[in-house]
Amino acid sequence: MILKLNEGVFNIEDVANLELSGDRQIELQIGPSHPGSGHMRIKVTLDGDIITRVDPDIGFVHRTSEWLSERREFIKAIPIVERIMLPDTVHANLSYILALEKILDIEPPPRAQYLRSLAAEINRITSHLYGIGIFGIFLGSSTVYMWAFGDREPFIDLMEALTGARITNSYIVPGGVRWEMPKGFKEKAESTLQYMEKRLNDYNDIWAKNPVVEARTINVGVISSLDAIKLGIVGPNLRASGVDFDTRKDSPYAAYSQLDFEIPKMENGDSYDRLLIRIEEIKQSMRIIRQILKDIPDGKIIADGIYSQLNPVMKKVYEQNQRAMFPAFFLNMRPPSGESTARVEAGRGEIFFYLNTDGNKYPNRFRWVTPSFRNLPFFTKVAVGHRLADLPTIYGSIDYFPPEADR
Amino acid sequence: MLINDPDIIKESQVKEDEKRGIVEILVHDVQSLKTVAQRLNAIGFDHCVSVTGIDLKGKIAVIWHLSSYSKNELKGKVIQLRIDMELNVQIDTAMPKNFRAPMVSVPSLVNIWESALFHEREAHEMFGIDFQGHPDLRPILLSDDFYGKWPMRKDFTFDKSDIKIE
Amino acid sequence: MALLPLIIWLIEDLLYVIVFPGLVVIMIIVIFLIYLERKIAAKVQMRFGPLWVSKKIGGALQSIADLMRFSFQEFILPNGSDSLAFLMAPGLMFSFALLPLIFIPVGPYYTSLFPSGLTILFSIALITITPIYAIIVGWSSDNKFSFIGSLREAFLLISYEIPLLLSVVAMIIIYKTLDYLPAVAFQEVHSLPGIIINPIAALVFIIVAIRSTGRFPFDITEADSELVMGLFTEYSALFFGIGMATPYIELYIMSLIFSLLFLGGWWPISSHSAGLIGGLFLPGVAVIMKAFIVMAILVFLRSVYPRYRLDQAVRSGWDKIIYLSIIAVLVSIVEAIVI
Repeated sequence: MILKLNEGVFNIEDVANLELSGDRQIELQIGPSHPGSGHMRIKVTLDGDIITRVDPDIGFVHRTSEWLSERREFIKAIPIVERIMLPDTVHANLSYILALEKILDIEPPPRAQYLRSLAAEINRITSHLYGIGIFGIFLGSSTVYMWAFGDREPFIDLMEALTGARITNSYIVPGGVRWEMPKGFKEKAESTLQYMEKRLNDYNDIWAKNPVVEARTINVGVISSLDAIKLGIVGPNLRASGVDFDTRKDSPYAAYSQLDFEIPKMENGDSYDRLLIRIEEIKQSMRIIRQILKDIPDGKIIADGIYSQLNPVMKKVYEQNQRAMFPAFFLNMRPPSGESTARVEAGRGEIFFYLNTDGNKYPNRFRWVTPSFRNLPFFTKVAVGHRLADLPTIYGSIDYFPPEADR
Repeated sequence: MLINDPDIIKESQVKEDEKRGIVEILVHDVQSLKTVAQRLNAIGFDHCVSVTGIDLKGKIAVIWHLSSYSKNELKGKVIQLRIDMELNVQIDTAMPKNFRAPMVSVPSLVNIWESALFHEREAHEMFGIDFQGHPDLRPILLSDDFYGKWPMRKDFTFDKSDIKIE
Repeated sequence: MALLPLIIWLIEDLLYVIVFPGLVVIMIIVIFLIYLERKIAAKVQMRFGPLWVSKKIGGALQSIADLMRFSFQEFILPNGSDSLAFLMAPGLMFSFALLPLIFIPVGPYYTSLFPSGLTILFSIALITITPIYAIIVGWSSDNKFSFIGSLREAFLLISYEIPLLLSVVAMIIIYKTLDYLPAVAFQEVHSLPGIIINPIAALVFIIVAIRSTGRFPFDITEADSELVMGLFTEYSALFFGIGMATPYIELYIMSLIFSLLFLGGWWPISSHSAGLIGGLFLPGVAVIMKAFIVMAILVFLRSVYPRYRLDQAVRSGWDKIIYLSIIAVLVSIVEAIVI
């Protein structure tokens, strides 16, 4: 009897000998066109049902953002950076502008700082809902997937009311923000937040308290706090393992030093904690948004140094429509030579920027590291020893986003 | 002053710019790189944020950015550990012959900071930096036909006739 | 002349298997059930579901459109596959899934093609043959994902056979018969459906029905995010349609058995009715309606639960479900002695 396998033609006696010789591992390529892999290839070596080795093969959506930004003017790097981190565009935008402002030596006014935090927190909620939806579909629950993506829509409508674009806003520029908060925004935001609070009860019933979800995620993909520090994990995954670190508290930027919020922290470090911590962070973000809407100070939305560079037509547009147009200074900007770093806490983790200029129109070195790239050790170290069905569980719980890891 | 450990100050040149968030430790040779790195790890910088290179004309600067999760007074700070290596030295490493020489060779700091594993792979394929002692130095983001061309160097050109469709 | 009743009897049985409640009724029910599953899931998930194919009736002809699309697709035979098994296994799976219908009466008028007092035994035995063809389907495709799917199916089938048999044995002890007609008559005489007589056996039977037809949370052989489409990854065209429809046919058969053994069968209609209308058609409608309600509830579970992991499902089959089924048998013994 001839059994045809992938590697050739075997006799049935050969199959028995394979078992005895110890070569019983099967290599599976969960490749780019697979429902459970995203834009990457995961090479898994299996012994029966147990994973013995995982090799993530990333780089399928590498878009050379660093190379492009080093050959374009400074302001043109904003769309490049935004479209790499698609669920989290405001944070990518904010981190680049923070690094650039440190070199240009511009300080935005207080109202602009509060508006930046507002946009960032709305974006954090949509990013966490995206992560919850992807985790749901990896476990097989299409209900949570549809609910999470449907519940992003009210928040994206809020961003459209604030900035004019749904996802790739390009809202934050050196010196401040581009659009003022429109009339009626506070009421619209309040009704959206009330809707989301009711929906979080539904998520609790069908997602967090579901016996199948608890059976699949408790004690799966456990990483201790020492391992998390050693491997350099970022974001809510780090806080679910018990490490107390959040860039908004430890190196504050925008308006976070004046706002009052807590950082949720869990102890076990398994997938169930990573699931719960994202729901808790949504609640904290809603609390921050309410504070911002109550406490926001009045004033200009763009720094005086930039405002004085606007020509009279642009100044009239600013008075009437509350909109800061781009002065010509932005295009021909030649920052002084120097270097700076900036860190921002995005929805998935910490974005790190390093900018090195030498007085030209283009940057000398544009280096950024996204949170998903730093979460890669989860595949190589944590998934080993689990069963094959635990790989989507771990993948979904760390909220890994391949285009952002590849940059 | 953030870095006031005498061992580090002896082996390197420390420059701090608080406003721009830069704390730079410039090391001059490979031996002091290893001692400074171990000393930094002992102080409390327990993970590596990024590893990259800068193409200065004739030299390549290799930069490790480090930070701390466990020490409270160091938590918000990022420091950079930098070494400038000359480019006009031929390195005899086990790399294929069609690689664009010359390359630059520094010791890998993966034994000290395991979080630098994937970052060093990226710096290797983008700049041509050979990290000696790295367990798995393969390209991570680039495909096979770009490996060996070190695209992030300033003198990188690619043959446009390959890409244009007539 | 003595042959004439025999010939009429044969023709009636053939019409039974082909028209009511055979192939034609199964086709209509399965097509409607697939559409209903998508609509129920869509209602829970805040969206519309299939809508555009026949907009005036809410998209009810969507499944027929899918069936037509499957008929016109190109069929691809993979190079390295075992072609005989690849081509024949889905068809055999489909036919064997339909076979228990010969032994299941939906009305007191019907006596099966092989008259014996053992219809319950035969129908349950035929149910347990189908998964073997599923394993052949997975093995014969030249694909590691299908292979892993077939291994999963093998593990699951072995772990859930014993609870299935024990729960049916529990009901047999109470009804004191291995035949469907006296079982339904027993429930009618005592005015108690089987689900009240022995609810634990009913629970075990429902759980086994969910497992063996691949409803959530036991969707393990077709796990979308781990194996691309489970067993049927390499199939296209009508073979894929057969593969997707077979679990629904198995679900229909098991729901029929459930409604006969546990829900009173054709209860409002007496067992002493006669004639083609009173003895076959009306009771048949009653049984199929009850089976349809059971199927709709099981199909609704898709929108509530994710899927279990393989070792959790197998372990619970050997661990908790066997205990439950043994308790069901003991309860039946107690009741049989007492009553």
